Formats: sequence, structure tokens, C-alpha cells
Amino acid sequence: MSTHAATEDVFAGSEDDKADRVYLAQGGDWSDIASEQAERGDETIVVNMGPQHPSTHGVLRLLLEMDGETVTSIRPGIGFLHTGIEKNMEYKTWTQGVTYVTRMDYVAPLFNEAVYCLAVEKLLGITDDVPERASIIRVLVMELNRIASHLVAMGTGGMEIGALTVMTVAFREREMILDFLEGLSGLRMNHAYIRPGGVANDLPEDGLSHLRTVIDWLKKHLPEYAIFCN
Amino acid sequence: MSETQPEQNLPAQAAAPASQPVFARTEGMWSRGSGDTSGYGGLTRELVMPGRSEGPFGEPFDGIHARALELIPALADARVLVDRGELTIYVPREQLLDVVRQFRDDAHLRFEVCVSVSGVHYPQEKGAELHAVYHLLSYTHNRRVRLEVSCPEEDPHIPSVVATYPMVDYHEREAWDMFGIVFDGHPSLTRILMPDDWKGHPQRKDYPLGGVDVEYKGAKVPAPDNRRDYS
Repeated sequence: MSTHAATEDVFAGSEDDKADRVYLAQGGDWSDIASEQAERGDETIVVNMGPQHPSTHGVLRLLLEMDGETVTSIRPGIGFLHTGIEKNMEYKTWTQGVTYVTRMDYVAPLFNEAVYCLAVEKLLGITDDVPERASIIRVLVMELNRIASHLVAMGTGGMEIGALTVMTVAFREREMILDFLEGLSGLRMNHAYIRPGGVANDLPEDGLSHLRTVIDWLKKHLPEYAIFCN
Repeated sequence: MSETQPEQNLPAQAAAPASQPVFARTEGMWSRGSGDTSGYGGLTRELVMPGRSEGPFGEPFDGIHARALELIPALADARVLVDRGELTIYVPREQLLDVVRQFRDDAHLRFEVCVSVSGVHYPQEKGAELHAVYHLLSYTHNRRVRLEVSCPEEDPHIPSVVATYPMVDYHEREAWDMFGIVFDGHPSLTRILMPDDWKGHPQRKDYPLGGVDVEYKGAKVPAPDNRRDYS
């Protein structure tokens, strides 16, 4: 018996059905593995990619069925990031729910909060009672969040093609925006700032002047990206 | 201040019309027997579902509803609800396949996309505990409609609409995984989020929040609150 395959299924639990053959990851000589496969005449290999493959950006598991180097079927396992937010929120008040939804997408938390709060307000019939100033602040922080989120997309996109500097400058600019959001809500991310009925608090006293410095910074540095990427 | 009526100091009580069945009563701010220290322990509320709406519903809902009745006469008795500016049609599960096909293909309806299939569990609704809610969107006419289908817990079967809307493949798998609704005719109805060998459907209302032992290859990891003795 070779070292990289076993006829006894060592992975099966006591109540599972035994597989007739399992492959082990001990390695071995490639030509041995290839010739053994040729003898077996079984060209289909099932490869378990993940659940923590470095190129998957978040935890994803792919079960690949391979015929040689061709993927013939794929089954994605997408449940690793599921956190049971809906179930948890059955036990929370509407206001507490914001703390959960803000964590649904950590690069665009304010959008999650906004849609959740709009839905809650619609359900409670208080849509018209939201102060105009709160609505304007919501749009303001969402637009800033949008820029920050796009910077992450652009930066990691640059990183993907080997332009690591695009990532470092994009995250630097993003941090400027997060500084403003931190001054506003107390948290860089997962703000729980938009609440049913309005927002958690008004802009801080130096809020608008802080925002102007952020915008000046962005105006100065955003043109760099074209130079880096082109 | 002397004219102030005592009832003005109390929260407004929404009187439930007789047509709207009360499906639950809650007491206090938290209704699930938790230690309530909020001071609202005396609060009692009746939870009601919106009942049914009678026409006319206003455009574009009247148009959608009239066309649906024209194409599928069996929908004549179906419950229709217009609430908060959204139209919901309650479709018997026997008619679902016919309804979605007509809703997609008919030029006056043309709901090209099923945005989402959501499962819901109403343990109080005897005989119709499990619901599947289909959110349809028409790009052509820029409008939305919601279809709601129910099935009893003892017979949790609803026909799959993947043949009409291929994009609901994963949504139906999620509704199966989380609520245990079996979508007959789905190409591969397997669990999508939970492990394949998981027992139970976590988003049913009677499924506990936490306190569930995790089992993996024969080894058992107790729930966090049972892992050690804090006394």
C-alpha cells in the first residue's frame, strides 16, 4: 500500500458509510502517484479547495471534481461566514438590531444600517417622522462610506494584479474617511450609527471642518490612482 | 393642565379589527421569559397580522391583480393584501408553478426576476406554519409584487420554481436548510449554509438560540454555556 492512498477510510466517523478509497496528503513521488492513477483508470479526482484558501477572500470551500486539469463540477460551501444574524435578532429590540446588521458587510456598514432602519421605520409607520437633518446626515455618511468601500475594491483589485502600492495608498485614503466616521460615531467600522427614527447623534462640533480636510486630502491624492494603475 | 385626560398619558393602543386574528400576545419588552429589568414588565401587546385587502387597490396594483385573475382564474379566491404600498398575493401551492410562469411570460406582467425567496415560520398558524415568500421584480414595468405560499409543518412541500426563475436555486436551498421547506423539483436540494449532516432547521421559531452541541466526526463540542462551571 502506498503512503498517499489508503483503502481504509480513516476520515469516516463511527456512524458514517466507509469510502472504498481515500487520498492522503502525505505527499510522495509524483510519478508514483501518476502511474498509480493510470493503473486505476479513474481520471476523476475530487479536490477539496478551502475552507481557508488564500485566494478566496473570506472563507469559502469549493469541492472540485477534476478530470485531469479540467473542472467538471463544482460545489461551493458558502456557510462559513454565516453568523445567524436573523435568528439572533428575533431576541432583540429594533434598536439593538442595528448592532447586528452593521456587521453584515464590514466595508459598507452604514448601508446595511440604513436599509434596515428604513424597513423598520416603514413597518412602524414612522417614515415621515424622521427629521430631515437626520436623513441628510444619513446620506452624507453613506456617501463617505461608499468612497471608502470603493477604495477597498480598487486597492485589493490593484493588489490582485501585483500593484501593491495601490492597496497601501487606497487603505491610507480609506483611513482618512474612517477617521471622520470615528469622530462621528466612536467606531472606525461597525458604527451602529443610523438608528430607527434617525441617527445616534448629531455631527460633532468640528465635524464639518474635519470633513473639509478629508475632502481636500482626497482631492489631492485620488488622481494618483490613475498613475499607479495605467 | 387640568383638562389633560389621563388616557393622553398612555401609549396609543392600536385597536385590532375583528378580521385580523391575533396570533400572539407579548408581555413586557422581551417576551421570551428573559429577566426583564426595563420597567416595562406590565406592557401587554397583541400581535396581529394584516388581514386582507379588498379592491380597488390603486394603480399599478389593480392592473397586476386584474391581469393575474384573467390569466389564472383559480386565483379568484386568493387573499390579496396591499400594505404600506406593497402588494402581496397569497398563492395556493398547487397554483404556484402556473402563476410564476404567467407572471414571468405575460407581456402585461413581465416579472423577469425573482429577487429573493424568504422562508418564514409562523408556529401559531395551524396548518400553514411554513411560508415561502417570493419577491418578484419587473424591469420592463419597473414594479414589484410579492407572492406568498404556505404549507403545513407535517407536509412541508412547495413546488420549486427554479425551472421558471433559475436564480432562486440557492434561495430555495437556503429556505430548505433554515426552515425545512422541501421544494419539489429542485435540481439539487441540499443544505447550503449548515453542514450536510446537520440535524434540524435553525431558523424555525422553536429552534433554540445557542445551547446547541456541535458534533464533528464523532467528537462533541458542548454549547458555550455548558463548557465550564462558573459557580
